[in-house]
Amino acid sequence: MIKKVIEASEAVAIGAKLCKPDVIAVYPITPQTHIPEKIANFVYDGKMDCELVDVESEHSALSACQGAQAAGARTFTATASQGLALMHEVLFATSGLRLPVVMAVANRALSAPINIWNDHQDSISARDSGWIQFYVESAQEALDTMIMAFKVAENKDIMLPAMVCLDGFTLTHVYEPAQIPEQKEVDSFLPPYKPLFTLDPKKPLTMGPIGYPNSYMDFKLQQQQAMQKALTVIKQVQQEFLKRFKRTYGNGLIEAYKTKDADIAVVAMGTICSTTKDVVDELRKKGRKVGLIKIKTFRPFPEADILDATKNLKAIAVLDRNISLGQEGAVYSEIKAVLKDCKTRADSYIVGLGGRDVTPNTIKTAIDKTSKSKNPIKEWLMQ
Amino acid sequence: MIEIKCIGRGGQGAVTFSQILAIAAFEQGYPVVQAMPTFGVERRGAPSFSFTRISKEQCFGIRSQIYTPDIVIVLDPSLMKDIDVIEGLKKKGIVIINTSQPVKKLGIKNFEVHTADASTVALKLFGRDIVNTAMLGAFAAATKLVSLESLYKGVEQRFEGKQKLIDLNKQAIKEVYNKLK
Repeated sequence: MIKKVIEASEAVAIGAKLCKPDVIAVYPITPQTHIPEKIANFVYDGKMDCELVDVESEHSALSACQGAQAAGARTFTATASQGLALMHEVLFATSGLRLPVVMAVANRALSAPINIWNDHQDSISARDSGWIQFYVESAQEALDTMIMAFKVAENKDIMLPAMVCLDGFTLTHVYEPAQIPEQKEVDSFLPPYKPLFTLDPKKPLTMGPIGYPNSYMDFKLQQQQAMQKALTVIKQVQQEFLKRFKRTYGNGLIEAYKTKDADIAVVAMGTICSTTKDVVDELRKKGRKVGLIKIKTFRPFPEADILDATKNLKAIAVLDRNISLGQEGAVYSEIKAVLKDCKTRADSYIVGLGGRDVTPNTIKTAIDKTSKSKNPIKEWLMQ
Repeated sequence: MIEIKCIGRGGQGAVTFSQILAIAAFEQGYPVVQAMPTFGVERRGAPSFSFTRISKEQCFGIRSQIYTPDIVIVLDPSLMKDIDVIEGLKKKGIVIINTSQPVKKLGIKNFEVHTADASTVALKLFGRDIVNTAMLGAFAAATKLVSLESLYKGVEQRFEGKQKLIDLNKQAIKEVYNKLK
């Protein structure tokens, strides 16, 4: 196993290579572009044996993956922001057809005003599409999560597509050390994709016919049941990954960092979590009882795990890098619902939209406000 | 944790400076290294910033820009007219500037200042004023945080497969390093 300094985008590309997808369809968009660029290099250099399809839009990228996956291929794509928005109608079809496509999302703000920088608005806007959503905080986690994502998605009881979301620029363009697993290790962890049904002219079948009112709802129920089941499977896959590769990200759903004796915890997703962990360590040296609950899996939402991790806290500062305009941060809405019967108070902070820097001070501000307040807080931290 | 801010003009390679430095520091034995660019809508010639964090102690790594650097690298002396290059620099901070001017004429007080005429070396070797690797030589000589060998490994990894570029950049690093050490 080699450990070297690589760009997080390269970590995603290496993760994809190790999973040996048969078809990758891509269309460039900042800040995702380094991922397909690196994959194109692998294919050109003969290091990766896959059909790399240059398509004319993101809508086509996902459609191509969907078609190939239906024919029995393992597929991968990557996008960001407007690209994910353009895929929107296809997202639901991929999930409804139970095709376990894996996609990297280099999280970026949505227009207007046009902005190329990071926030989570793009993938949060796709949260109801029936895709599993993982949010990662490091190059290593991005690489490892790629491998776990395929394994979860392709599980016979799940068969749902999965997004591996990483913060645009704030992670995609960062160079840092990552361990690169051996191919044979990944091969034995992730067996070849063997779907139950494929589109094959020799064995004709129809995939995706009309679902009349007497059947459509049953399909949706099955998707929902598969999502619920994924809560268990994700934990199992993380356990298995830990045994083989000696790395873990909480239990695969959430990571509770120094929360056992904490009064206050931050709840966040993505790269904010790394900064928060350093802030927690710094504040703990000064005797403050603070911690972090990182939500790694946002869909399916790990309600039980979060309840368990938060019920003894006095208060929670939820940092949302997104905004459901007209209501509140999407993570906050979930947390509030989880805590409805608990004494733990949840405060909401909107941070880091459109690439506004989330610094240790931003996080300390949220922790301080939540520590001092006796009433619920809903605020945008504009600093 | 040592925080290093590299200031250049678009096209001068500030981002690559930070990347090679991160690889070199990792080779040098720093377990935590991180190179992070800032991205504007890049324009050649506009001021650009890039950051490297290196730490001997284990930590998770703050994922924001660097506002209070320990070390500032200035790739283009004309930047000093446009922006406050030492803004936020910590006490006992180090400034390393690409200039042919003597330190006294730069008017920077209360900080350790090093200068290197990296442009002359870059123009000679590359025919262009791309000084990032030459300034890595200055960085190694002035701070002793990374060795020449580690920087060479950084260049070899960053420019993998481009042997001519690797050789020229190693030469740039070495020439400036030898002048300053």
